[in-house]
Amino acid sequence: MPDYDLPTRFDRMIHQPSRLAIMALLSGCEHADFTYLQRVIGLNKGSLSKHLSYLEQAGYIMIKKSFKGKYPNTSASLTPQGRRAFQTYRRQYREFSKFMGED
Amino acid sequence: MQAIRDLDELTRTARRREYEDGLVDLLNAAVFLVGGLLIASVYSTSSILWYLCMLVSHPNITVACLLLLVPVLAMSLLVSRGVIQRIRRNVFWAESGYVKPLQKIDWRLSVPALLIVTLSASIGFWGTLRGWLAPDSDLRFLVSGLGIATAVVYFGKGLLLKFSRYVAVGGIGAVLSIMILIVPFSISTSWVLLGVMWSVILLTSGSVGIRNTLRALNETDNA
Repeated sequence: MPDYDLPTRFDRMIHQPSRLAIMALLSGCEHADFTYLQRVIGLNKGSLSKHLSYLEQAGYIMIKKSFKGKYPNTSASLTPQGRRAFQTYRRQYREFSKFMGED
Repeated sequence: MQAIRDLDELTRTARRREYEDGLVDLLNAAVFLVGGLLIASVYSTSSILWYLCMLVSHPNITVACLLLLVPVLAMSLLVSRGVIQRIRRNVFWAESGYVKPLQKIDWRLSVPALLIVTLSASIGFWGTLRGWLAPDSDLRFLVSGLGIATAVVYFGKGLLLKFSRYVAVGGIGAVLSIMILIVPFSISTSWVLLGVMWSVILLTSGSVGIRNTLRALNETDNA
């Protein structure tokens, strides 16, 4: 029996295009710096900072600020909670796409 | 769905970053070359005679060198990895951003590779014991098995990460590793061939990676 309520259970923090892209990218590495995230996802600095803050407040990512020489450097990594949440979201999304016949 | 396929591609993009610049391939090429030559020397009569002569004429230095061999090799590996990180931070990834790769073993690749080595060594051992195979075939099966296992890891990684360069490395490596089994080389020659063959393949792969990375850097500078 298809679970038509499944989309209502998607994690709203992750189920947003920019934040979803951030989580997907960070799931493939230990941590990535701001420059890399901005270049691959294509967001401007303000938008990326905003979404990283939301994910940090939700406990899904950890942000570390340091200096590369004289220049500030920000890097982000998924927390264990964030990895679990992202895996759950992917599983739910795959289930949803399967019974929608679009796999 | 297109969305989930794009997500998978984003994850693969981050995972591929470690291998695209070719630096890891150069390090592995050096490991294969040094490892192959060192192990080959153990099976070579002339090398063993040389070791024995050194042990008799300069016992302290020879024993010290033998004892320090493994720690020095391990330190070299660690230092090389540090050099790679430095090159990435200061040159290759200075403009495009830094990614620290995932530090976890991919069991989907490691387990089949271990099984291949175990199986090939077992077939060689039992075949030689039973007289089905020529006397020193057991070790040639092990050498070939190591080469094939390495090929499986690269091929598998290429498929999982959609990285065509590694698919090619795995394919070529597998074919050449099987040749070590078919052609009746001596054990020492087999080890040398394994080391040299894989170091050439990985040097080529690494060079292609570095060329592509430098080309991309030039395009960014000129933009």
